[in-house]
Amino acid sequence: MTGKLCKYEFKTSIRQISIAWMALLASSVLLAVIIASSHSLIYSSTRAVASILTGVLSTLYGVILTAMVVMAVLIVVVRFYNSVCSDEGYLIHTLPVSIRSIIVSKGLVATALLIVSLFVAMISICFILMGISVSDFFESCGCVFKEIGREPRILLLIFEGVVVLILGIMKSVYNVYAAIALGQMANKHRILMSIASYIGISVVLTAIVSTVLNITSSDLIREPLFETGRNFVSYFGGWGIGQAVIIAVIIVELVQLIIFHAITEVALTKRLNLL
Amino acid sequence: MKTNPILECKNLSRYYDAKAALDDVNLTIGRGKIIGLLGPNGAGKTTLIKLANGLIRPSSGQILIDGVAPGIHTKEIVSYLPDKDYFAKWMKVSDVLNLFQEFYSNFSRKKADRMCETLGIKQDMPIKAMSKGTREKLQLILVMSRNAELYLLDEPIAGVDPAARDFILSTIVNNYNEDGTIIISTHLISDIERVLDEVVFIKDGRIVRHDTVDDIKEKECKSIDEVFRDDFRMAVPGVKEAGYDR
Repeated sequence: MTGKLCKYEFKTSIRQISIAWMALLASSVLLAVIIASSHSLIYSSTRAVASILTGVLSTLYGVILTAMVVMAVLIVVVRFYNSVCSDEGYLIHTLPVSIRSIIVSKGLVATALLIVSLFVAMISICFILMGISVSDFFESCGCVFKEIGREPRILLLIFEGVVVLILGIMKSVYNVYAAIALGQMANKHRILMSIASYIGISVVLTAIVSTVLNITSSDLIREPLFETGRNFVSYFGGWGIGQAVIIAVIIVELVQLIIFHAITEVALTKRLNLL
Repeated sequence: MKTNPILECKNLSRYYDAKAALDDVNLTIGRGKIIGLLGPNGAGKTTLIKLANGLIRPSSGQILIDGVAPGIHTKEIVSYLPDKDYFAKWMKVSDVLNLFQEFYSNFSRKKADRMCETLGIKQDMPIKAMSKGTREKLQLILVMSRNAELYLLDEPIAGVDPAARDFILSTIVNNYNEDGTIIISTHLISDIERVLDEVVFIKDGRIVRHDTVDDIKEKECKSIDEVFRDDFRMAVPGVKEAGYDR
């Protein structure tokens, strides 16, 4: 059932954001073409026209990129609110599926949407870089691949970076879901209560982080901690401690993700309040 | 064939802030009947139906459908017509029909297609291009195309003209699973009383009457509409006893 829900969620979300993806790619290609063709212009008048066009298209690209980011974030928030807490909820909550399936399907699709948006933005930047200098672009790519060949562990780092990025995006999505799920429990001012919940969750997280930092920086803990760190570095080296930090980050992200999911699921299961 | 009650409320209460929308309701509904859930606006009809669908949770007490609390099993056997327009605007009629076909094992696509055809609702028609009345008819088609054990219809004839009311009522009566139960909530009693087997009167969140239509007519020699007007007669300021224009 989660797969079927994903399919419908994807169909709903893709319609709106795909326009922004296309527009961003088109504007970056156009910008790259103008930049590339301006290199070969001889006359100062045509160079001036190309320069103005480059300026206009750069601004347009920036506007579309900003719009895409705003749109992606809005879709994540509005889609969940609309389909779970407003009139569309009368359909979704009467389907014979579990609340967990509903949350997971929306979380997966929203995360995928944000990752694809990021990927589209990266591709568009690559197009522009190619417009500036194709040879420099491929030379830089070649350097990266040469580095990877020399040090294959970079591949592991890239993989870990992607995992941290995906978990980070997913955690942020679930953070919003948890806030909305708490906000919908109110009988009035539900959007305001959702915003308040989001701020509340952020305050609690900040308090937890500062408490942990305070504890670890206290005299009692600091010295033994540094000593353990020194031993760790001498035993595993810099690479080892880097890996330990990445694993710790992954665990922290995963724990937050699970907590946000649990808050959302409990709130929607025990205290669903569709008005 | 199942003989247990399809719906049971045990000391069921639901509060919105401090106000009781339902107050200590005890109710048992059997199978194979058409029941009118009748009461004025704000009496608690929609709250009771939403509780039965698990869209809100009880403040206290219990509501059971086929012996269990609202959940995946009850959603499989309950067909619900809300008083809200729940379609996503991007959908076409065929998208909605596909969705129901995929999620509800008791949904009859053939029946839905036939009803759409009868009503002139084209399957490639976008939802956002439809009038409110057509969207309501489509929702009714979706609900009545399911072979459900319990149909919960919240104000299906409110806000439509008398001709459309007749169409809606005949669609309901001609298409429901006869082993199932239909609960129709409304305050437009005269339009629906001819199809009802039982009535439940609800007032200020409390059940004030639950009887068969035949018993009421035999005992009181009045139509359900007249009995309802008597039971729910309100005092008009400045008039000793209120009367109604009929």
